Amino acid sequence: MNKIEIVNDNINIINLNNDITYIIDENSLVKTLKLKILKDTSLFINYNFDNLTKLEVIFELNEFTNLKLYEIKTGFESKIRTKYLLEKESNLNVLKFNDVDTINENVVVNLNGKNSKINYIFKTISTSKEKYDLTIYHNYLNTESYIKNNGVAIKDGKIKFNVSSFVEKGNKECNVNQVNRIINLTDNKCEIYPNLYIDEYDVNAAHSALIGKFSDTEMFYLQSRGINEKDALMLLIKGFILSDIDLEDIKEMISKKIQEYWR
Amino acid sequence: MHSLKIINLCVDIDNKNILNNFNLEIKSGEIHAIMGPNGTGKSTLLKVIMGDSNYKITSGEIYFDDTLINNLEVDKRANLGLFLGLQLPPEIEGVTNADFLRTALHSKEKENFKLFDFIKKLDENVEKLKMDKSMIHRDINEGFSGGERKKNEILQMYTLKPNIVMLDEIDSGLDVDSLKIVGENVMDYYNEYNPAILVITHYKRLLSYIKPTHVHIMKNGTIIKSGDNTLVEYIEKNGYDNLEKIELNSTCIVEENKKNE
Repeated sequence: MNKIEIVNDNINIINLNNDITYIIDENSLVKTLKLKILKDTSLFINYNFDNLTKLEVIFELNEFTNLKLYEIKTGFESKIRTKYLLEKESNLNVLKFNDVDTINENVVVNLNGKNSKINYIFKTISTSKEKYDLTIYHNYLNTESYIKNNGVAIKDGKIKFNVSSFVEKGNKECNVNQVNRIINLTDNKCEIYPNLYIDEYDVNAAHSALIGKFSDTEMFYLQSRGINEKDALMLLIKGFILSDIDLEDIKEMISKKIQEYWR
Repeated sequence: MHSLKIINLCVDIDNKNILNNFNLEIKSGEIHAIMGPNGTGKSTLLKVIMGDSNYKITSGEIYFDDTLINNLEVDKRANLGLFLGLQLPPEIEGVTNADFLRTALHSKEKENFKLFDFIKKLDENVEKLKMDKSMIHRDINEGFSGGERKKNEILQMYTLKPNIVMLDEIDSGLDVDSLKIVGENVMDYYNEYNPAILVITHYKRLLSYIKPTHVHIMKNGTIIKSGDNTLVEYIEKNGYDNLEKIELNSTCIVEENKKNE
């Protein structure tokens, strides 16, 4: 798999084949990595921040390309802006996991071409302030977005998901989906804004937002099989965070993180 | 030999009395069936025995053998040997059946837990219950049909090998074939491990597989009549109306049944 390691704003290209080209722009206010996807491929990006980092990463998907993208972020304070630009018949599957201490992340999705599609799955374990602004522009007919944000707030964790999907008049037959859920195991305030801004009648749209703890029914069910409260909670958190993750290495890494937090 | 003894149990939820001086004792080798109209507290009874904290015991005692379990945590009750097969088992996202069962059995057996034995037994039981093998690796009850969920409950029972088995309307949502599989498997378990079984049902058809040694009729949070299997026939023909006013013993019930034929 193609692989890039980013430590603070140092970008190390570990392995990139000819399906992806890149430019690093150091002259703009924020260091920017631009990646252009030319053919169907997959890419793993590992971010690690140990001081305040500002960074922009732009993904451009050519027409008729599919990208499977894995992004893992760990470390401390960071301000990240990510843009996904999708051309005609392109398909982007994003699987992101964050385990960061204070982050402000801005994600913009531009579905620019007919039948372009994004499937965006995001998971985070929050131990401090995390703010995510995610904006999806359906700029063409028949475009599709499926956005799933799952967060667990623990210790001093505080999560804010501000998710906005836009469809302008004339962009018919778009599919717009948002599923946002925060399990809040703290007394802090967590927020979700699942916004739909749709100026077209011929659109399928759905959004959901849920903040709370795991249900009593789920806990009772697990405990009624002899699993103690702590292990039942860990099982539910693992399920919540690990569902949809299809790479064993990433699953294992996240499982270890969860074990560390709930040891 | 194990027993579950409930003495003068009164239970409230949201200040509403659900169970009212409820008494029952069941022992290993006995199969008790509780029947009764909707809303009489049958499901509440089982959840209270299992320790659901949504219900408040206002008076009375629940004993497992000689241990008072009124204030015991749910998981500790399960590890003593209590099992509740739910009427509506929940779906749990991201937690596979295999992970769930492995964690549950590990909690029970601790250092004696053997992964290989667990997998082998699980495969055998899945086959015995005629379940699709892929269900083991699917999230708990996600996308399962009513019948698959109930079989999954029985699979959990087989894995955990409880001494006191409580089944809440295990027949609801089952087609005739699935009912037969579930019923026969409960009886196989009974014949092999000699547990005490407490089953709640509205229908005679389940009791043609799981043959009760004792039948109780519950109304307004308490048992109003107890008898043997003939009581099931009586209820099937006469319903629950005025049952508390009628003096019945086994012979009477048979006669009542004959009269109605």
